[in-house]
Amino acid sequence: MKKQNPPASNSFTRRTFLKNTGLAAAFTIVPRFVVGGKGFLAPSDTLYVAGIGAGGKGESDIANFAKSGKAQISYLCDVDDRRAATSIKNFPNAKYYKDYRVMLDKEQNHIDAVSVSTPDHNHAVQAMAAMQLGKHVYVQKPLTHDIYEARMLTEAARKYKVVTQMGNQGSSGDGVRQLQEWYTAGQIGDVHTVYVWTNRPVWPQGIPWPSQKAEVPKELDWDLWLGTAPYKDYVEKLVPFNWRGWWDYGTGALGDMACHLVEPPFKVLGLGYPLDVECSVGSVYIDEFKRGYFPESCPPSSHIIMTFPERQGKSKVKLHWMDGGIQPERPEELGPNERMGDGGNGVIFIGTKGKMMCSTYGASPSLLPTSKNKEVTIPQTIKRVPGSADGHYAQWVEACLAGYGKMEVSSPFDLAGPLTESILIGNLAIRSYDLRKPRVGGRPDQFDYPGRFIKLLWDGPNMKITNFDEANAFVKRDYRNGWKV
Amino acid sequence: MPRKKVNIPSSESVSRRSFLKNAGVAAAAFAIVPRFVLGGKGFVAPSDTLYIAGIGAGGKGEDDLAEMAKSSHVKIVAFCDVDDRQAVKSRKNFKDANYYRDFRVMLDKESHVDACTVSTPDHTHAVAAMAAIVRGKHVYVQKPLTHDIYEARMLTEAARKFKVVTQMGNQGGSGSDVRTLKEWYDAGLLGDVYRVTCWTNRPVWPQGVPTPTGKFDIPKDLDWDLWLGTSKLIDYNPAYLPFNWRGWWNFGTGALGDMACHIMDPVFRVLPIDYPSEVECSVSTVWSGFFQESSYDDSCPVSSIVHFKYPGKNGKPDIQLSWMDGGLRPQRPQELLPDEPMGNEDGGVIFEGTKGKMMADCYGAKPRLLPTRLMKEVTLPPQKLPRVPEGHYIQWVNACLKGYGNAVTSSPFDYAGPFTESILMGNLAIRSYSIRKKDDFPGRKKLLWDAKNMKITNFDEANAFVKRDYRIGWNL
Repeated sequence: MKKQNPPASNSFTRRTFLKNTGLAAAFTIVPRFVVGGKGFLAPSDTLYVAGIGAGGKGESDIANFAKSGKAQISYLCDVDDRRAATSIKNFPNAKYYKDYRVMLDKEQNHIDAVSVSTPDHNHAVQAMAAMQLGKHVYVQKPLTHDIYEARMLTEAARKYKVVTQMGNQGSSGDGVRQLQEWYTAGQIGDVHTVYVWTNRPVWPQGIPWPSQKAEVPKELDWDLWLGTAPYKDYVEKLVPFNWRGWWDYGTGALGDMACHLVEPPFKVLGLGYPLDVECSVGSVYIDEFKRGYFPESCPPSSHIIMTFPERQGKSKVKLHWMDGGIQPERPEELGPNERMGDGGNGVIFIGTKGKMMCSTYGASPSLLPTSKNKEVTIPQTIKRVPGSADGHYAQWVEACLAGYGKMEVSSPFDLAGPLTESILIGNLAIRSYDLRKPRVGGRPDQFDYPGRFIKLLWDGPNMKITNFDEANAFVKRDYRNGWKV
Repeated sequence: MPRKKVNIPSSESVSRRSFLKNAGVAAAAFAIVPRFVLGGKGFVAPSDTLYIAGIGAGGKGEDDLAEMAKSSHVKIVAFCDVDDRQAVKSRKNFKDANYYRDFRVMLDKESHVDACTVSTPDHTHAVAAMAAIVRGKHVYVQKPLTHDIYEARMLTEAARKFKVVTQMGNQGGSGSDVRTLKEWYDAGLLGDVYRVTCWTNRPVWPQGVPTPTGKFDIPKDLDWDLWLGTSKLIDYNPAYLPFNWRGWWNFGTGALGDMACHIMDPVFRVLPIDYPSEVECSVSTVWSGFFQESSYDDSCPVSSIVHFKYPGKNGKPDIQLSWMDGGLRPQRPQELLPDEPMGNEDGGVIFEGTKGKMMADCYGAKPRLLPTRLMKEVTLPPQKLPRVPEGHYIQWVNACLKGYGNAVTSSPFDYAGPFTESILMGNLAIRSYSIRKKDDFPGRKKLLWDAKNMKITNFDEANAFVKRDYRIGWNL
């Protein structure tokens, strides 16, 4: 734990300040001019943030909160000192911990809000621990690893009345608001089909688990990194990034990109829980007629199709997700040489009266044919977020300062929870696709795949697949002993 | 050169070909001497016997020869293979047949044969079939007809020019089920078909993998140079033989080449379509490391999706044909119940029309209307099209015996040629998709096809895949 600067015991945080003023009873927030002169940042104007996960995305998240000018990064936590190095340098006054549980336990009175930027499998326990202490939370996408966890966090956010934001920054962008205005103005009519695609995974998937045991780097607390996941020996190349492609920790291409790409249709069309899901998955052959079976690894490519229910006079929506390089058919309105989406990623909305398209984060919104963009002018009716997608961080900081229920954020768990659940149903379908049973009366190498080539029916409120019970194993995984959400 | 076992036919042996020639000259009256004229019961007249030489005697070649030989009117008189190991069974099956390694030598020596089967790796189909056709031999060529679009066009034209009876080896094309699909369509059960989707589980061998390396001794039983044939000269590698050449563009045609001739056959047989006007695709990416996209350009892709557009004919709407392979499958039709199977393990086909949908398994097998309850509710049209009870192989044998123009086959090159061209357009799109210029992929767009002139009009680099360069010494 290298570096520990305990804050002076008389440090005056916003939380203790508010508590005291609360007792004094007059204002909830003391206006900053009462307390100080020009250039003085009143405690009530400062959000004291603790970052769980300080490297990679954690590093940039923390830096972005600080950039708002209203957040102080007070605590950092990472299970890997190597990953935390830059953040420690950026925030020399922040106290550094390795175990978020120790940090929350010791520093709970000095923390207003917590940012969670860890591998997917630890999001839920970390965010839940923070919320239970009444801390506002900013959680990287996907919100959670499992459907059940997303439901629990969504409910907890309401229960504990904390300000929440998922880290899909595109939801604060102008693009999705432009799409919403076109749709609301009836430019494309009633939408019945949406195609979403990504070039992810851009790392190997559909591969065997590396069998070679490696030595745990001295800077890494492997047991803490594993967290809720089943115990396994440390292997090379899993940290810091490739955990994304292994089901024990990551959520594959969907987890990486769907929160950015599915958010526009989810928000614009007001989708909720899907009714059903089907998928097909790119196969891996290791030899002639010998199919690889790597159920620990996310697939090299997948095509998932979900049906969303009718909403207030709007028809059902078929949402297609395609990853691993495969893409939807080009709309006929798109010229042969025009780029679809941003090339590797994109979204196409197909309505009864027209089509629209965007790229990742809802960026580059466009009506189709693209010539329509010049012809159509719809008045701006939806307020933009200052700074657009980059303003996602400051928006949350501001909302935390304003207090629960006082200010809108772009991706509160009330939206991000159901969005994440939908995305994770895609993973449930993929994993059901790989379930196998020895073929009755068959050779030892013959299997049946009962979850393959069927449509799975989803009971959203009860979080249950109703026509293939084995699939329900993927709604909620078992944690390692000692962990719970 | 003939190898090991050489049975030069005795000079007085009368083959059908020479017999007919003589009969024609001498008598001029009959084209074929009725068999009762020549012999008694159990005697098969030369005019009733088809003398076949097989090019490629192992694997599919072995099957093909065995199937042909089931006809009492067929004599397998010669065959060749570049790999003695592959030919072992055929040599046991046809002890009297002459065995060669080089099809060119065989065709020269066995000039009396009537017909040839070609069951070699894809890259050799065209040159082998053409060599037979220009000698006036009827040909049965395994699917896909050829490796390149240009080759398919050339074979199709040659078959007409040399008036030979042709059949591509997509045996499902002689099935009863595909005729049922056509009868349903013709009866208007689907209305106008505007979309068809086909898929396969192939490749069921590794694709999207690095080019094999290393130096290996060429097995003594293999003539590697002959195996390479039209292909550029590369070092021998056991990774290619006898099966996995399918996954390498130098020799094979990937999942499309393996299965589209079976799975798409109902589409081309049932619907009024010929050449596509547009093609586009996407291909699953292989990552060798974190953000490291591999470019294994020699290897066919792990999985792909291809969309073809066929201009509507006779006032019918345009038809969108989609193909998916490598485990990817189309969206389940809404008419299909959640637990009902879609196609079978090998793949399937779904037709969507203005009035209805129908689905079949691989080879067009097990046709059913969707929703499947319609199979009980609808009065299905009566059987109208003739069936092929004798099967795909014997149909060709019989047609050869009757002579060009006197009998139909299910997959003559007039049909199989344009059909194969379409399939190979998919490969053209896939290979264009992988063309990389710095960090850009200029071929990732919709490609516009001028079928008459065999040319992509909006991305010239794609035209490299219409016709490959042969190694010096080989030509079509």
